[in-house]
Amino acid sequence: MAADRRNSRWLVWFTFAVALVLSIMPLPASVAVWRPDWPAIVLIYWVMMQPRSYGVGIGWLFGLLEDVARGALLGQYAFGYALVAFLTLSFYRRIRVFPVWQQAFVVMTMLVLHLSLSLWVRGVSGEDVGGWEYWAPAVSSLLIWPFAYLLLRRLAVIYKVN
Amino acid sequence: MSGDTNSLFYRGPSALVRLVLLGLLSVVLMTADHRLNYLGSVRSALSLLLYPLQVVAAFPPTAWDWFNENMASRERLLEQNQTLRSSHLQLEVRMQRYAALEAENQRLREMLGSTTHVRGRMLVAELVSVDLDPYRHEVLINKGLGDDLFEGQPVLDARGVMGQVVHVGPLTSTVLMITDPSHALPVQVNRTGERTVAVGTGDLRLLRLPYLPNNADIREGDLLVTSGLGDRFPAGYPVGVISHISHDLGEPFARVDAQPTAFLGRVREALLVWPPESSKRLPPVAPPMEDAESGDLPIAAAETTPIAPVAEPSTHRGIEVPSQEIDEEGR
Repeated sequence: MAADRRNSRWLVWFTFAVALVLSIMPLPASVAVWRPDWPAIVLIYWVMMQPRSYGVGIGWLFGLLEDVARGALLGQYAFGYALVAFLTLSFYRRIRVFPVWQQAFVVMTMLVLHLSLSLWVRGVSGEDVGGWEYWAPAVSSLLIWPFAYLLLRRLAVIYKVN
Repeated sequence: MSGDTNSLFYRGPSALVRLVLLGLLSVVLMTADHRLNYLGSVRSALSLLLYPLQVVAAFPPTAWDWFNENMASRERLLEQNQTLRSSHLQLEVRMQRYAALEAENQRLREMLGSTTHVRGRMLVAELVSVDLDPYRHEVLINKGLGDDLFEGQPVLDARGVMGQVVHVGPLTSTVLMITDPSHALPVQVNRTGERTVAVGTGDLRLLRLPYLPNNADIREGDLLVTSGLGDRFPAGYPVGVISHISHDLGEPFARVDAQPTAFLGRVREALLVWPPESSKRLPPVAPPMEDAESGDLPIAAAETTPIAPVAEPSTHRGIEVPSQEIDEEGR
């Protein structure tokens, strides 16, 4: 049991690290617009699967790291991811039993909320966010969610994380 | 987070309470970060933690560059060598003229009792290829506290002003580029000496000059150089070329766009500049050319005052302004 827990912690932190790397991995500008919100996807998965161990606090901390990694205002992603974690925590019982495609829409909804929050922050701090591309990560995250979900579940099974 | 995850009933503050508290904390953090610049040390500590991840993220492009360089064919290298050599020769020839001009300029200034910039120390930094927030024009460079960087330090590339250091971490630093919407740069039109401010637009190839009156003497193709006002950027470095002007008689100001001369989206290396020990008087004789090896690009400050006849268009330093090219060839 204890070994499992340790295992689980390693796997979770490892996937968080991978998500962070993916979120700053250089891409051509035209593709980068569509970069899925990897950290949010990983966060939603773990909060949904282990709501007792991972919650709002982890989301916030993770968001703070993302803030530093992306050079955003300290607290911008932190607030957004805390919100995402909170929403997942509130509905995890329902989301867990949804079919994957339906989960994907829930993920998109949460990301739209997260993006709206950070749009507000950007507006206040005087940043200009072009046009529709701003919302592209929500759509691409919706499309990528089923694959990410299957992959993460597979990893969880292999490393006996529950 | 919580060590008691096993118990049946979840206690501690509820998720909503946590969210509200952390939300408030976030707002405080954002305010402190945005308005007060208090959080440099927090950011530095976290950036140290993130450094390995940044290295990992930057690995594929770095590896690709390495591969390209190592697998380049002999002919291509020879060809490249040839072009570099010839451009080096051209630059050397121009440098000779600049050295003389600069010396003359400094003697004149000395006679008039005015101080000017001497060239400061420079350091080449490499960009760490990670994508930062797409709505802020920032890049990460691989120099930090260990190299004496400081906030507000000017950053140039081979062709012009790139931006300024906004945050210095232990190993990496963040550079805000001049095209970021929050960036404004005091500039001067090289031809006329008119001073104004160039504001970033959020587009890597566009600067805007919102404070030029409708009757300002400005044309497309005019070169903008830093004016040195604001005490942050050294004077006389090229910033952009006027690309578009439109006059709307109903508006008090003309709408003037400029294209940055620095290759903002494509640079791999950036040049960090240290200002010379500030406002100390010059030595009576201009320093000789011995610092040419520092790769340093001297430019006589193009002042508006008629005392510096030195800064004729030749200060353009090989920027591709068509008329300029003709001028250079014609000599």
